Amino acid sequence: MTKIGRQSTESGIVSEVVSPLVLDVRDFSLTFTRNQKEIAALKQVNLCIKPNEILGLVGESGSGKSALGMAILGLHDMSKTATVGQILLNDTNVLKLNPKELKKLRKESLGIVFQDPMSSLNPSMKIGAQLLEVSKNADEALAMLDAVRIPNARDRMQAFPHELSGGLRQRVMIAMALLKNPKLIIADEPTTALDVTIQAQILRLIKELQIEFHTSWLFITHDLGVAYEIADRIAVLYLGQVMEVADSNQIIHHPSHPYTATLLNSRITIDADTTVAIPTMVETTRSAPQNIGCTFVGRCAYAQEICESKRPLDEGTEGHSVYCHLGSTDFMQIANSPEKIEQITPEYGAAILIENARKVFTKRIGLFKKSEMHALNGINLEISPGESIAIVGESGCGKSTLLRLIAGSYQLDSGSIQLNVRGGIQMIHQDAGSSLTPWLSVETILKERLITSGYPKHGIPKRILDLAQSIGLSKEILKAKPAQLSGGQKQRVAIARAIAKPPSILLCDEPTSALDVSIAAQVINLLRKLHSELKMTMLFVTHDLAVARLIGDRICVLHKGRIVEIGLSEEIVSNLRHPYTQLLISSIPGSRMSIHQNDFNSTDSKELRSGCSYVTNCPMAVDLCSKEMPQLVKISSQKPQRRNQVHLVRCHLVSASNSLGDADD
Amino acid sequence: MNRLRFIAKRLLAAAVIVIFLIAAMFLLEHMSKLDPAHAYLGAGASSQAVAAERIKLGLNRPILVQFVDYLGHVLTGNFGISYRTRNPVFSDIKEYLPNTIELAVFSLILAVLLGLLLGLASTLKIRGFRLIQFILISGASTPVFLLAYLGILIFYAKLHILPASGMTSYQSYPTGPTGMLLVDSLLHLDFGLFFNSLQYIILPGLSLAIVPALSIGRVLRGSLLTTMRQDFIRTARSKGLNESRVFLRHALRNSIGPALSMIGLQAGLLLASDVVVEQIFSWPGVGYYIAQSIPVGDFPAISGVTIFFGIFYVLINTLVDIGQQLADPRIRT
Repeated sequence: MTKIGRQSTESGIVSEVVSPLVLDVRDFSLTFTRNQKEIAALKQVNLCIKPNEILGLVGESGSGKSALGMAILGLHDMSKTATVGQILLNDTNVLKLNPKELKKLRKESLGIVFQDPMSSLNPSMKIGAQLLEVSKNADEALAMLDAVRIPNARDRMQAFPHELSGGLRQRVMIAMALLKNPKLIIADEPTTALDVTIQAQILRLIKELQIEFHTSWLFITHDLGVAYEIADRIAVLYLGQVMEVADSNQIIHHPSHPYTATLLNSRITIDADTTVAIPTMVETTRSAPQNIGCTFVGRCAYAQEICESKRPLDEGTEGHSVYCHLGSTDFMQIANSPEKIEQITPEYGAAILIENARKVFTKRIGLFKKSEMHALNGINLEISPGESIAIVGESGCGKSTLLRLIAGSYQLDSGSIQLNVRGGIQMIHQDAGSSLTPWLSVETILKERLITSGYPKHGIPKRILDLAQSIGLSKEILKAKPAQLSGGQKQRVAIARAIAKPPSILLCDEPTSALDVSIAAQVINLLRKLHSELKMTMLFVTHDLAVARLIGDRICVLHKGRIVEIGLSEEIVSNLRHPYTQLLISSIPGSRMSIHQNDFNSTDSKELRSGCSYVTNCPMAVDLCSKEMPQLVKISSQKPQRRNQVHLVRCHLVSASNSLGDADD
Repeated sequence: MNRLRFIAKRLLAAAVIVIFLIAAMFLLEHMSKLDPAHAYLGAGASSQAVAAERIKLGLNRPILVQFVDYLGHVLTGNFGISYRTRNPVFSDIKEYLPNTIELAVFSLILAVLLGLLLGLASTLKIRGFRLIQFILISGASTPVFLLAYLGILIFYAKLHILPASGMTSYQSYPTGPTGMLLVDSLLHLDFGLFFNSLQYIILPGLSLAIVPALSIGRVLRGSLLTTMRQDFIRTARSKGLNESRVFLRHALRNSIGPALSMIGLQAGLLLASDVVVEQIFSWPGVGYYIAQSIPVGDFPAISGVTIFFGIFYVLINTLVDIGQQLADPRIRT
């Protein structure tokens, strides 16, 4: 086999003749030794990447997807790692190289982009200096910053990483990876830490760069939707074993492995059925010993005896690998009928009445100067008892501040928040793990809450058992400490604690964004079920409009501390009017409908301009938009039953086309 | 530009702290039972003489006026007359202070070097680091005075390789411009004197340096280990850089912050031990001077030395702050 250079691929003729693979992983197994225990991270993995191809590697946490990326780079601590099989990078077996040759390989042929662009750049080194470690040529470095569409690239060379936004930092990482003109770039969850809208930008950029530079990408992600958005082919990994590899369209529309099918079904899409629970994975009694059998057997609804004792081989067709004893079946057809979720009608009146709420954070810079950050700029919101409302927006829009104001952990600067409720308020945080005391057992954590909330003492043990049952945790879990629980279990315990004494108001601050897709679906099902059973008023903060639509009776879209659009969920999704809501919807990965948008905006919150807060990013902005802040106006397409259910939009373009609209704030 | 402003701000803050220190010293002196007028005139002075002396010293004026007066004196270098030596405190200090600064700076440098060595050696698992660690830990768990005497016993009494008291065996030596023997001998190109006084400073210097060295080394090791696990280290490695470059260029600079803070803290503790060590080694420094002044209640001397120690401490910590800002561009107050 001859190595294939860049020219020959560009000509497109030679590649047909010689081995066209950039990466060829053959029967690759990887075992870690940790505390004298062997953990099989990857099991007989077979994968390949062709020139100029993006392979999406999809898997949940523990699937070994990052371990594979690190193995290709040769960055594992070899004293604690054992490997079998081959990783061929342009016909060179990476596993056979000595450290010096590996270093050379990384220097010349491999690029990498990590998840968190803040921590993956050296904080004390200027961007330019970090780029120059890859290429000694400053002009090349500058040209590359231009190529990844970084504005004012020349100035940015002199900037430190913390002076750039998250999206720009990730562009710098990409520029750094591309600069050595590598054969393959390994991108490990490069968009997971970013806002949805920024994620859409970065995905589009990678796609454009692939065409421009003819680079192959291994794109590692936990989100099938993101992979579908960007990858030519998708490989699905579960607990170290490849489940299915095929063309992206094939995977999304005709999944042939039970795991891929369940993963797809648990994805929350913008058109999900709101009356039923999201289908989730089952727990079976079957299990496979560590080195034989199918790794998915424990959660596969179709598992048979052979799945426990024999590792499945590729049963698929040419170009569509399926590692399953059942052969390839179109599993989308045989999804089980999901549980109905009862809808409750909110009562009349207001459980929470927020009037003109403002919150400003001040930071002292210097002895007398202060910098002000307007987190909330006059919010008016009336929430009925028993209603659930989803607050949507990107980081920094003030959505978490609003929750904390309601919870009372922040003080308002002006305006008022009235709570007309009898029971208490409880809050569920994004990172449940750190909200549970590490040395207390689950039972003690729940007991503490019940005692402090004045629950009758003799009823406590039974109440704890009931709670465990209602959140779907076994009795054994009660004796466990938080460190022994998985992410999903921790979040359930946090929920159990919050509802131990049912609160009137439940505040949820992105409780699912740190969880795997299938686990997130379970938690959302649980919250919806609890909401209808306990008839709580619920505020659910999320950055994902699809989740918002599923969980909220109403959706409230925040942008830079102001409500820009609010209304009934279905109305918002089907009849949205604000350009920003439009952007949020089109940024949902997996829809492949990301529209053109201005990539850059000056997100400086300090410039409190008189105009609309979205004007710098709005593709439809007119002169008026930068001069005057628009008011919230009514959209009169349908007559809602309640006064607080009217559809309101803050946009000059809507006000102009809707002369009936009257000012509301 | 930003950097210069930061440094200017830090220096301004340091000046404010020193003024507060002077105020504290003034209040302490005022609150003490000692009557300066009585102290000057001696125990047998008549009450009329004491009263006259009080007026002469301005002790009958309002306290605020006295403070402003005191502050003005201190800032112009007038610390009053020592009750003990009957010399102006400032000229006493001028004589002793350079020796102390020499010892303190020497031990601090020694502590930083030993700390760096320990931190790097134990992080990189260099051969022999366990030995360094062992010596430093046993040294650091021994009280300073014991350490000093042990040093004298071993290196002076037993091995006869290092002297045990004073600063030099030379009878006459060039004076000025700094008053510090090591520096002055170098400036006068007198290398014989330089190496001679270097021998004299080793034992007291080491006695002072070992405790801070261990703290600095441990903090540096902890922060280096955290840094080495960061993503940007993986990025650096994926660039195919040499491990030494990854370590020096990427890891060390991002780990130095906590070690710098530790140096600042240890500088204060070092001054406290300095008083003990100067006594043991008959080092003619301000520690020696203040140890003689405390038993006789020589307040002008005590407050003068304290203010100078305070200035030294504040200065070291200002340098630490500036160093941290240079190491980590994210620090901006």
